[in-house]
Amino acid sequence: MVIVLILTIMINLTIGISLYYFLKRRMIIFTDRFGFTSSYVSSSTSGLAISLGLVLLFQNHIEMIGVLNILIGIGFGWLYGSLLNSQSIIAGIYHGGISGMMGTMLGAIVLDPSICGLPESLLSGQNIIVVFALLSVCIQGLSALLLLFSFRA
Amino acid sequence: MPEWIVIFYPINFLSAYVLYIYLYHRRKRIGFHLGMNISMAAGGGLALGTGIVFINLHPLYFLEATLIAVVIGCITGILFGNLFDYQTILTGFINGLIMGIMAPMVGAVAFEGVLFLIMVEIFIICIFIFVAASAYKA
Repeated sequence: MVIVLILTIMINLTIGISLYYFLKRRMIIFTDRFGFTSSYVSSSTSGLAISLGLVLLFQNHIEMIGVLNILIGIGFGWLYGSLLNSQSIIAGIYHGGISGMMGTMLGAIVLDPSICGLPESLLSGQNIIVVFALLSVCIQGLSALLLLFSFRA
Repeated sequence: MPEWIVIFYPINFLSAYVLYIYLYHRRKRIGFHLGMNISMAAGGGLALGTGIVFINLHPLYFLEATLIAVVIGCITGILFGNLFDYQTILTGFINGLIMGIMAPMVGAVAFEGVLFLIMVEIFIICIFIFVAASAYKA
């Protein structure tokens, strides 16, 4: 289980950083609107996938990992938003921080559904963790593919 | 939770289908700013309704509720954004995804009674009616 989680975090980081270099090469054709949309989409999915993986990996240190997740989301938002101008920086920072908090919340509920009033899930602990880790890779890959596809316009 | 809340599935999907058919004939006259808001509202609303009803019908299946809500939200956002532009596809996709992740957690609040669920349904139907009205004026 630990190997799968570390592998998914590495894949998500690789996709996020390579997406930054891909966007930086084509910076010359950005309009205002495309800068907003690209920083919104990429910072949201990167923050969500990486924070979900980190919470599932370090299960006993949710407090420190929550702080770290918000910082990671803000860093990704700053990175993607700094390609264009200040309004895309604001959009990236806001949505990156929000997605970091949401990844922490989703990971805490996956680990223990009774904090939300739900009964225990039918799947055992390790299976549901592995399925959510694979789901984060699917989300990150699909959003990266859609972002590359939208350059054709 | 009573069993008759299954009736909320066909109401949601039918109203979203009617909205799609209504918007399809008027899509040339709608600008990108209104199109972005339409795709966000439609994808997020349908993902929210599906996730809340599913987690109340089957409380033991948290994983399946999240998966179904995320998939339906993403597909609805992509379909509604596909009417207008390439960037409305991206916006509808990401809003459907985030609403689909959040929907089972919101639905866990409604275990006490059915009144909260009915209010959420009224909210979603009202959002769809507002979208149709704004497309009529454009």
